[in-house]
Amino acid sequence: MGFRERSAAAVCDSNAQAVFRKAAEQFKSEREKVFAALDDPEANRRKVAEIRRRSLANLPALLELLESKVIARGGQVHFAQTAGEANALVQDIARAHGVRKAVKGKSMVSEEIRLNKALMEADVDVVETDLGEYICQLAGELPSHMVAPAVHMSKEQVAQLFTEHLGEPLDFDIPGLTAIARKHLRKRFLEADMGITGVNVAIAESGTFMLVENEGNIRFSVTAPKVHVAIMTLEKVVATLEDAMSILWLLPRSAAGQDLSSYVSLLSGPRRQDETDGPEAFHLIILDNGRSLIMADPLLRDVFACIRCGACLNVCPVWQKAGGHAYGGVYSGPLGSLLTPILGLHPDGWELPFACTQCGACAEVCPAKLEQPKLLLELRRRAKGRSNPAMGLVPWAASKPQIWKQSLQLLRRLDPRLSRLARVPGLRSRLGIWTRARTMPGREKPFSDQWRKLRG
Amino acid sequence: MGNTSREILLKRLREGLGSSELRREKGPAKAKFLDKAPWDNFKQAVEKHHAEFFLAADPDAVRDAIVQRALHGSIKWAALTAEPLIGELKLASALSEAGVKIVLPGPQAVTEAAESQMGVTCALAGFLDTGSLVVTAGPDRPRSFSLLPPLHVALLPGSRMLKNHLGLPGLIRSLGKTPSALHIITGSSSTADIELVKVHGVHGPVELFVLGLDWL
Repeated sequence: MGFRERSAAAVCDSNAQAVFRKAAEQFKSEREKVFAALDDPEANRRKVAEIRRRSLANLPALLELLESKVIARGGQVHFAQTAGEANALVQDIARAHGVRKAVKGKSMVSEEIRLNKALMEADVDVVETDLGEYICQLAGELPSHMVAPAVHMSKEQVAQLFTEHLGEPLDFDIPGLTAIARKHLRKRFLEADMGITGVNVAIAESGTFMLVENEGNIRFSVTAPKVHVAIMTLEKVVATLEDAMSILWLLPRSAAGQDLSSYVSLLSGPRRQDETDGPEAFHLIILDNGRSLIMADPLLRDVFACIRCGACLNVCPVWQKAGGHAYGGVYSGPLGSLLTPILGLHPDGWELPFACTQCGACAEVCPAKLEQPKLLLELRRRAKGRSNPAMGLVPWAASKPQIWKQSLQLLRRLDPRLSRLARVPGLRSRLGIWTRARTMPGREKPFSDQWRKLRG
Repeated sequence: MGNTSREILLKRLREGLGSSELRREKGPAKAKFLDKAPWDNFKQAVEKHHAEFFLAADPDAVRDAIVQRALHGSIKWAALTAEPLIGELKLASALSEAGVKIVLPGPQAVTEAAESQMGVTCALAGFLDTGSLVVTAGPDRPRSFSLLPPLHVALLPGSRMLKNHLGLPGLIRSLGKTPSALHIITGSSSTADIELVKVHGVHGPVELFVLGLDWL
């Protein structure tokens, strides 16, 4: 099943539509409120955009500096080219430290590499600790939103899950459900040998990792277990603490409409010798998974300027109708439409750049000033070779005004209601997407004539 | 695997991105604290984040406020960091006299903090704009004491107020040694993961009680 089928199913689900609408509206309005309170949000965005581009341009040097600083602080650094290598590294670390139980903080990269499966294969019992991720894990589903992973589920569905998996009495009270998760997960935190987290920003000059959260599960994961494994994709590094603080200025504001998240942790290596808690061992895994090849592409490189706030998907009209699961992978919305195909994260990934109306709302809110619509157009152009050759004729003809005009004249004469065209093999399926819920417009007269009539 | 992957990855990046020169501007080496803590504004910011604020004029007021809070919350165990200020304020003896058992930093910090109903720590700094607190890990201040008990009591001297988190790099550099863990705390732990309904008290403290120390 591809994006078309998955999104079609979501569009027909009235409950899902209500949830997507509510999520998008709530995140959007909270973001607007905090941005309205800023003196010069545009200057803040320019600053973040400059930091991210500068960091990408200096990536090799920053990664080497980060590596040396982490080692100097007593940590170990591992590089992984693929998801398989990263998973094997975590399995090896778990074996070396005799890890049987692990807790995981919310981390998109660990979802990208399917780390839970790899850990289970190594006989490590791993549990998600972010409430939304925990709910998704119990339900056996992928997260549907970057910030609110279980936004697609109702409290009734969550209560049902807690009854089935945790043996708790059925209770639809949301604070009550949260308390149940707190009780069950606290035990898991205290028993865990290893805490696994992602990285929001890595700071090269000091070998420090910034982690942003609201629940305290990430803090717990780096406080109780004896081993901490942080997994970052290679683009997450910046040069200085100042750079990280500038990103922090916009990250929680863009992600959840918060001036600051409940907890921001700056972690620098394992616990010191005389400290009584925190991990005794710290391992950093720097993952490539196709990114270094894209870095050589001056146009597409910009995708990695993203700070993973998720603001783009909250304003995306396609996400609002299709929801996160329609994208088929861990990343959804405009970011998912960019990352999934170029990193080869889903077999139908090259469909996703076409899941865009080119409205530009994502670019307007992006704190790193990514031009997602432009990048998606570029991906569509590159996807041409992969698409139906008959459809390739349309942009070719459209780029030549005289041919375009004559083609339409011919079409108006031969097939004014476009009924025959919709039966042409190769076009049927494409046009069928539109005609499934719409009537073909018909072109008995040129649009210029219709326009004149409409204007009176 | 690791070393080969490292070389391949860095080589590919260098080839793809071209040569680059790492330029780092040296940031400030000391913190720029506000001359006088604007407590009213700070209180407003703290309360906006579902936390409580009390301005203490002297050490007696601090002891009274914490003991009252402990009695009000039927606290049986309190985890106290061994920071000099906590010792100077004689909080352990004040709480003991009120019948509260005291947990101090030690090898069992995590399990003991998990059994405590109250954790008392000092804050290295506060951020005026957001009502945030900065706490760091150290031998005398375990990470778990500000995280595991359902009530976190934090003491903030008035002389340690920064305008916002953009002042943090200077503060960290002024310490000389980067702490293994530094946390910026803004309100109690929270989530909106079920139907986007905000709930306070997830894996961290359910309540945060900030005491401003006006005389320091």
